[in-house]
Amino acid sequence: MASSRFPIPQGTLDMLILRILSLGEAHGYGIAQRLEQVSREAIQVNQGSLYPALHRLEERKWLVARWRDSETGREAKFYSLTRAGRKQLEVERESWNRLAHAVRLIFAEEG
Amino acid sequence: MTMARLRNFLPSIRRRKEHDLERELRYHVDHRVDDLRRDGASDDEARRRAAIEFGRVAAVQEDVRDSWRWRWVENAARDLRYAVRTLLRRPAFTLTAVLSLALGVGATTTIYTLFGALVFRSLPVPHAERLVSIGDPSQVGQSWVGTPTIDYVSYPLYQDVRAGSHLLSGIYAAASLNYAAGVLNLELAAPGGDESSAEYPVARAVSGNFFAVLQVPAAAGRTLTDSDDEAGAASVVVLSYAYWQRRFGGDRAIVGRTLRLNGLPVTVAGVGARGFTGDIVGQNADLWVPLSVVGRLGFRDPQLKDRTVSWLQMMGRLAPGVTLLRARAEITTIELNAVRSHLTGVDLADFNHAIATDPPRVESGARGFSAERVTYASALAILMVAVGLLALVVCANLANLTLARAMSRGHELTVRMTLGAARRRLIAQLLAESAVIGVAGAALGVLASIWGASTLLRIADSVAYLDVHLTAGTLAFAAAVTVSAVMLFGLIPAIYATRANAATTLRTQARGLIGVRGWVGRSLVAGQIALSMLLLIGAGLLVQTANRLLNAGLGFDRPHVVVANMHLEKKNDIGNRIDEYRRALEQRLTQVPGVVATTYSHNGLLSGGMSLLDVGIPGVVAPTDSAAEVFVNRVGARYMKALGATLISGRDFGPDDELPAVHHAIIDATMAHAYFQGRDPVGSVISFDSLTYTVVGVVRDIEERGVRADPVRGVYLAQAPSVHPGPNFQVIIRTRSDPAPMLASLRAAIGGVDGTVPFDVVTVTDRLRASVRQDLLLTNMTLAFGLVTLLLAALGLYGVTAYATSRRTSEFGLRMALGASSASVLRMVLREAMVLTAIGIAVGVPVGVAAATLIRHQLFGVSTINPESLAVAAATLTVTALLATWVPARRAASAAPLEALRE
Repeated sequence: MASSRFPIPQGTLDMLILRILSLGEAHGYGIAQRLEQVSREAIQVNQGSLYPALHRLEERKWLVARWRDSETGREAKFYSLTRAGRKQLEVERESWNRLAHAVRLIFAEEG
Repeated sequence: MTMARLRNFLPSIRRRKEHDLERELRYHVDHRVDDLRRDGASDDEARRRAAIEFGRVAAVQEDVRDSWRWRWVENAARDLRYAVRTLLRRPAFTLTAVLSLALGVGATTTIYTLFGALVFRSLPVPHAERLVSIGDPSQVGQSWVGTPTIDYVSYPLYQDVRAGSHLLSGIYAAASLNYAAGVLNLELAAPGGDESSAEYPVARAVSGNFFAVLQVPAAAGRTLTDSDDEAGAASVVVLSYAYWQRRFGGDRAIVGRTLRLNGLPVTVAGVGARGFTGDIVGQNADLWVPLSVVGRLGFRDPQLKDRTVSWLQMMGRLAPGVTLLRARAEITTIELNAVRSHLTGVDLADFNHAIATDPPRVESGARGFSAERVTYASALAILMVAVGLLALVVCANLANLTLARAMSRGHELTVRMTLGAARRRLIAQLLAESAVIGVAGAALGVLASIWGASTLLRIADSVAYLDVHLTAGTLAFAAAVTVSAVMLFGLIPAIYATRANAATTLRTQARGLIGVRGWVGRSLVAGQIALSMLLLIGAGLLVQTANRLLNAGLGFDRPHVVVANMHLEKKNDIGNRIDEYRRALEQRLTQVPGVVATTYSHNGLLSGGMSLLDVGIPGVVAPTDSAAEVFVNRVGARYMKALGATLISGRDFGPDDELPAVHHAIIDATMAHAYFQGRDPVGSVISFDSLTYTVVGVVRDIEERGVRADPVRGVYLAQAPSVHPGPNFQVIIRTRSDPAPMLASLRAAIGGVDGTVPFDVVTVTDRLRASVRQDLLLTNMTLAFGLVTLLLAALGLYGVTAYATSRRTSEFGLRMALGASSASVLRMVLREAMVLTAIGIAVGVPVGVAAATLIRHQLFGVSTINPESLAVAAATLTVTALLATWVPARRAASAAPLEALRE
């Protein structure tokens, strides 16, 4: 494959957002940057697509948001995990692990 | 498109959200631009790259919007559209449901409207809650001659209270002219009108500050003022707005013109404010005259200086900051002191004794005076309960209907749940249907109640003046009824229908759901039968009461007695020749074929008039004052014969008994028993004040005062009308056969004597019917509600049975294939329905008996535990239940075994 960066798999963006926010409060831009940093720039996020996901998670009450001054001095919308969000993260982590395990098993058989 | 429109429902919230989104996205891009610039990119380069990385802002915004919670609005709109479509596809179900609900909402709202108008509504004046009524607000238009009272007061007492009170900013006094002092009517001749255009408006005499205390302005001209109370004040009248519109077409030129009231020229001073109908709820005033004018109108006395004539009611307005409690203490003290300062000796002791048990009533006057409130409130409360039960049965029926609907869609629902539809969404869809039915039913119901309330008022025409316009309260009530009904009949079935576990019941859903439906449906039907039983028991007791009331013997030949009320108060000139007039009347009337006898009565039968006097009997000492009181009626010769009353001993009055020098009396059995224990009173002497009378006869009790009145000690004194003249003069005629066809000839005979005397002729039976009109109304309404409930319960039973049997067709087929006769299948189905009915009746009877004690005051001659009405109610229900189940049972029994099995 030409590019070493691959697009984010369908349905995992939510999980990744929850995971990043479990480390602390962040605004959308911060989340996008941290997403790239922690995945060692292996994951390519279309930055705009982050926002529908953030709003969806907020509607589900997994995130709460508040406006406060950011490091640039301007007001930004900061998101943080709710208790329900923390639980959801555990659920997703669990099912991701199961899926990853199953996939590894399949490839192990082949190899 | 719909979504866009729906978003506008919440424009401000939406604008805020949009604004925040824009800020959020702009922050992101700006931050990125800053970072890129810090890394060395030029301004333009940084902007370009940031924009590319972010993607199209408008697209992102649209995606974000989709995640917002507008979805529930959109869902609701879609559910409602879907519900309407589904309902329109099932018109029979929809129509039944909507009409049942309309019936329930309509009936409850009607009764609530009447109840509210009578019991809860405030007078239409500013700050009605600050008004204080002094006296008994239910005693409208009474008067009391002789002793001072505190229910209604004399004019001097009113002046004392008004002068002494500091906590009320004003106190007015008022009396209803149409009743005061026994005068029936006020005759008004408008300018240009002749004698024949005379009419009888409802008039109230008021003190000059009436409008000031109530804070009612004039719509035209002026209202009354304190100067109208002065002795030399001009004779003026203030018209009510409604009367002004109705009678004078709202003509402003009427102000300043002269009308004739009872022949007295009075000037129209003005018109009261629009919507103001007076201070009596249930009786709208047409006009108000100052108290100073009353004497000039030909009412017996001006009565303004007499402390012993109590004829006024008082209403005051609390001064700012004063509580009702403080005002009550002040008014009570002033009033009692004022009365006491003019009493001495026995009278004072009597008065103190009387007020010890019945202190002056100083209450909130916010709801005005009303005699009807007391009369009808209990009846309306009973009807409220009755319609409440009816509404419950309606809900149960609707629940059954909706449940059946949900069940018939059981397969669809199960499939959808298996495919992952959220249960919440399915319940929401089922509820949407209920909501559509609810809105349609409620709208129809409210419309029906507007018609119903005014129709009921027409039937019960004595409360024809209640304001039953649609109010926010009524609408809120209807909405509350509807919402609870929709919850009852919509939510419960929806929850049950979607309760089945989708994963396991796809195959067996039919059976599983029938079980649920069967259990809930049967309980609902049993409940309906219990409620019907309850209503039928109540209706049965009321029907028996009405029958007793209508067929009450009254102690005389009621079916054949006719009374003619002569309105002599407007024929002042007849006073001198009244005996002559009366003789002429009796002569003419006895010539009418079919007339057995005629006589006259001073107080009249069922007229409401009565005279209470203290009797003196040698050798009898009354233990209390009231034990000496007897009801006295002055009557003419042949009184007992003309009534068809039964003499126990002695004789009837003859013509000679009327002679001025002859003082003869007939007493009734109750009086004979009270004072003459066992001995024959005939020949004894009784006295009233200084006049002595010899008892010439004893008659069985005659219930002159009305069918519900308790038996009283009664005495009849033979007297020519001229001996004790008064406005009351009733001719009594007894006929050989049914008097109804003879009324015309009787009227002709009376009119032939003197065409200028107004009179009315009515059979006692009709008079009786009128006197128990509110009983009949209550009875008919309860009966109607009971029958509707019965019908609904029958429908419910039919529905449940039909559903159950249709689902069990194959079972019946099998039974019959195995040798069961169709009769035994029929019996089986009927037995199941009968078990439900029996359970319902078993629950209904004890509840009904308990409920009957709540209406015992409405009953007459019937005990609350009445085997007859219980049996009739149970039998009616059983027969109805049998009829309702007969058709489905027949269908089950006639199923061809093979066909049924193949199904």
